[in-house]
Amino acid sequence: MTEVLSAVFSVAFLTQVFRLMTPYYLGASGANFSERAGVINISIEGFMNLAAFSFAVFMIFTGSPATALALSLLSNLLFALLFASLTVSLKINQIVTGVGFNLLIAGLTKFLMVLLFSSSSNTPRIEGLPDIPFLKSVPLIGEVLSDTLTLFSILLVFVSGYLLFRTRFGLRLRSAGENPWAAETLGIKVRAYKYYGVLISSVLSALGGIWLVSEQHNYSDGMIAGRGYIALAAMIIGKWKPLNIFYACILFAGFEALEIALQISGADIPTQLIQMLPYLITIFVLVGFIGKTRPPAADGVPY
Amino acid sequence: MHAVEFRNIGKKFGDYSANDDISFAIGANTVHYIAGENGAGKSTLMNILFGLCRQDSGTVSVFGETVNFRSPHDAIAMKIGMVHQHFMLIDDFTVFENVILGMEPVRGFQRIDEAGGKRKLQELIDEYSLGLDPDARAGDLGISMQQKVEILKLLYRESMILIFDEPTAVLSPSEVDSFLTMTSNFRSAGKTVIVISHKLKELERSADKVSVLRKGRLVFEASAKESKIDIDAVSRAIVGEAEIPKPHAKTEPGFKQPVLLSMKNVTYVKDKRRLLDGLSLELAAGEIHGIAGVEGNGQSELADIVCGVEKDFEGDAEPSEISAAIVPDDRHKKGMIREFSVAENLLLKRKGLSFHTGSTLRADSINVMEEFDIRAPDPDVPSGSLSGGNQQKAVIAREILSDEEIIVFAHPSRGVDISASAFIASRIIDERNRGKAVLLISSDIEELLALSDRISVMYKGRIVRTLPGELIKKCAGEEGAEYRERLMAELGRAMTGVEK
Repeated sequence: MTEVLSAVFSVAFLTQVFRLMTPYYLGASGANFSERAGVINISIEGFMNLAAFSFAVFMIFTGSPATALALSLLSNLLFALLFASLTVSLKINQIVTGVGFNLLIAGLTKFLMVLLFSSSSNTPRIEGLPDIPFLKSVPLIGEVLSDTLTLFSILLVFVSGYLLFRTRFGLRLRSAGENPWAAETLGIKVRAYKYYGVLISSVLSALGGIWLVSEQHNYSDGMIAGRGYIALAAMIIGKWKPLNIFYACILFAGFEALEIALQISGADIPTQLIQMLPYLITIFVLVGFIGKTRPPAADGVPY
Repeated sequence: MHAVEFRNIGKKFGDYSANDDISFAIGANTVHYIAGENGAGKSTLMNILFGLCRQDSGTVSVFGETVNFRSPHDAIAMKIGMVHQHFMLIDDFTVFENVILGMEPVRGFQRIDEAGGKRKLQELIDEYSLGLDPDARAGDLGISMQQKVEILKLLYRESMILIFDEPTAVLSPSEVDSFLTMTSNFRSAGKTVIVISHKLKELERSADKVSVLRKGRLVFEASAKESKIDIDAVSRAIVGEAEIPKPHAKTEPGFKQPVLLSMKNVTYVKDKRRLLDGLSLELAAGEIHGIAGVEGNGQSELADIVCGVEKDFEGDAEPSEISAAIVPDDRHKKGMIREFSVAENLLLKRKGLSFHTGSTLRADSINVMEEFDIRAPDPDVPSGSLSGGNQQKAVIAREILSDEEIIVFAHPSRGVDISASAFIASRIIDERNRGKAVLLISSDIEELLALSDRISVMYKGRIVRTLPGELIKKCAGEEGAEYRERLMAELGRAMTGVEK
């Protein structure tokens, strides 16, 4: 037990928490942009999955992280465009569309895996996104800062807060999610902002998937493992506010890091019990601390 | 120069002519009223002017220029602004955010210039004495303050033509006064004000000109230039050949019958606010007990307690298990399910009809619709598609038919036109004559004086004054006119907490 405790109270553990926060925050922040514009995007999981897969594929075929990143984001944008046309322009139920996208992408990746790599489970090994080398030498936190996407996530907390609450773009985006009818009478192009929200959500959640595949150095079927859904839970616990969402993601990442620490220490606690913790925590935190959360007033309402 | 000129405007929805060859002009720098029953075409005409819908035929010109608006954005660009009957505010935004939305002051890359914007807002707030706090959350404001936010939105956009759709329907008498003062301030500032209303008293006080629509056509115009606008003529034009029915007469003796509800020292606290604060009230069979007051002084909490929705209060109530029928203040939120058909809404509270088949329900509904003058093409149309007056009559029909001994009417004639409100008044009197105990909550003093057997004034969660029936009777008829004015002034003072 003492080994576990000493493992938890270490710089390495904190570093781990911040790193593991990355996919959660990217997914949750993405979902938040979409919901702030009034579109519920439950296919964050699917978008992460798609990007993780396509990044691996493009890495294998081009060998260039920059090209793979660009192509992977592009393919996510195309899917997001389809998602937005269905939910915003054609006003199809957002939950149904989201479930459809999750299933479609899960099937599509499996299918392409067999087609491209003759394997239904794993791609060959890939190089991940490169780190930022000169930040590595910063003492203690160098490890966290030098991970490109982790650094990006931390900056995103402030950038998204600024964008949503201090800029014209953010005000208009939020107006589309709160009261699109009122926004329209003021000349706001409501549908355009809903498209922006969905597109931003697909790019950010794509980065979450790319972080995961870079860490693992190959793509494997089912590797997102519900992180897209936990990201949605973090967004709700965080009450649709960037900083609060960040705290919620740290909470979830903390439990994931704990799970890993326990596994390494070989302590006699069933890992399944630890794996349950994030979900129990979600329920506990929602009931006990956060109380009633209030989504944007017109969230999920077709306009 | 005319601010607006309508020429031969026609607009059809299916077979129904909402606007039929309407031509008239609105002078620049005037207060112009547009009157008419619900469904007469007033809102359609204003929606055309504001770019919310397009006319099928005819032209609109604004300051002499023919316009063809495709969206409100085009109208806003021509300095036209509109305050809708149901406010278009974003509850979770601050006053500042609501006002600047769509025309944000921006510095550098997209950054909203908060300091500069708020300075401009404060100037406008001071110039027209709106008394708003730019940082307040819009959803936390009362109705009249929300209306001021809507007005501020127009002023911020430097609108020269201000359209108001039923602006005073939800205001208390003193708020109405300040609204009318505000409109004349706008006129002095060179703006043109267009008001859709069927409140004739207000029209008489502030209109420079009135245009009356009926069944989609312009039927009457009058100007206050040479003489005062003849209100009787306006009201005849509004209803047309149809007579305004006289309210039914009250039968004696009024409220000598048994007391059905007695509340003593009732206090109700919610979210740490004392919404009812030691309220005492009696309600007897065969009386209409009017409750006057500015909205938000505990009337809706009182209604909730009387009809048994809210049980968590302190103090004595006899009987302790109260049950009552209620016609609620907000019929969309509490009174009906808009997606349900008229027949289904009528059925919601009926006893003894637990299984209904299509044909009996239909026949039953048609009877009720006839009895209560609910004008709908068919009992199966969604309730939300009816006009406000007909929706209200449907709610009233259901509540009266539920056959409770106590009936609460909260603002029964709000947003309802002249003939429907006359009908509703008669139904309320009928219920009293049948021996029901009626609690009539209203912020319309005239309505209260016309119907009530006694009137209690609510202020800050308690009854501050009760007028006995003898005083109310004294102001009936021609000879009581002067006394009536005095009584109304006194009630108005009590409602705002000013001691006599």
